[in-house]
Amino acid sequence: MLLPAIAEFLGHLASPLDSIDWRLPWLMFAALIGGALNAVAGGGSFLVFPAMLSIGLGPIQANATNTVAMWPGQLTSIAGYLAEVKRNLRLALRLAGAGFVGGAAGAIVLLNTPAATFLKLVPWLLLIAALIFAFSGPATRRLKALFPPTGPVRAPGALPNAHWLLVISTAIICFYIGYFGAGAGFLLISLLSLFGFEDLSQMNAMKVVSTTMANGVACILFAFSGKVEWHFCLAAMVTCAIGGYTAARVSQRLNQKFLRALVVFIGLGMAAYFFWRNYR
Amino acid sequence: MIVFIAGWRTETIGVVAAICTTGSFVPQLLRVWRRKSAEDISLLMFLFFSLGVALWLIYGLLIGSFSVIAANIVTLVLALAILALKIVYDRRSLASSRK
Repeated sequence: MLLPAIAEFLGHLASPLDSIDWRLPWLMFAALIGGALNAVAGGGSFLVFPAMLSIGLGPIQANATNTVAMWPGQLTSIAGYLAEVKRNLRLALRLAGAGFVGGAAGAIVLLNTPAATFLKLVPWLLLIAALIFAFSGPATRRLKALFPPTGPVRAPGALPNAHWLLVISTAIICFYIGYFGAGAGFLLISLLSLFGFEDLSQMNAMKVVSTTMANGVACILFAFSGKVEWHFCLAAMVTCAIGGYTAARVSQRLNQKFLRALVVFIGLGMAAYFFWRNYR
Repeated sequence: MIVFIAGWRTETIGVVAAICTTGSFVPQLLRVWRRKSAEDISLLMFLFFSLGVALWLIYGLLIGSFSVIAANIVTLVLALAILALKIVYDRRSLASSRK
């Protein structure tokens, strides 16, 4: 007698909550944390993309919506490197061109990938991105050891035809940015180190130019394809910006090592969850 | 007598083929790593090869073939690793010859 009565009481309690659409607040919360993570360590997509899948978006819609929601934050970061971009305008234009071609190709292939195939790829993509994050620190130290500072090197190293080789390699990474993109920033920094860049602000400027261009062209293609869920996108965009702005103000006080470990933990956890969900 | 090969046997042949062609790059990568030199490797050949593998990967994504995607991702990573080592070692030897 007692148990059915308790169940009925709980049912009455739950019913007003059931009528609320929790998807939007949940996504906004994930975007707030994701935006904060992006500002201090990167890897915000590890939260926002799965959150978009969890509210019922298809895998390709979720990826497209996530890319568009994150883009304004990247665009504003160009302002911080404007002087460096102007100093290396010729190279910046070449890398922007590579970003355009690679990003467009990645986005077009994503839009034409069967949803079932992309869903099966999701855990692999999350795993690869988490591993990129995990090994970014040791790999950067290794690259520095391979190329000890030898003086001012302002352009791709001493190799013949290095410029076009760098442009092609950038276009390949930008293809990944247009397709999925998580962890690509580190790949670009590693590539620039490989070609003899040493000045970190110059490398970041070139990275920001190519990633912003690749994601920008992908955003335009996603917008015209009709795959972007705009109300979720705009909500995530605003909360992501708030999270990013707030976190940037306190980033100096945060432990970078702990934050990167947290991002890797979240990425591996999400990959494990999607392996379980998609392959059981 | 005609023997038809179908179903899992076809897939097995594909998987063995992928292991052979993809795995063939491991000895090359190890050789470059151990010798700390990639002078004998043609940059242009590896560049076009990597481009071809990338296009195979795109083809796999578009037709939704997981085995084509997996084989070509691994091959692309190995080929790009060899290319990266070539750039590293060629830069080093150029720098030392200029000293």
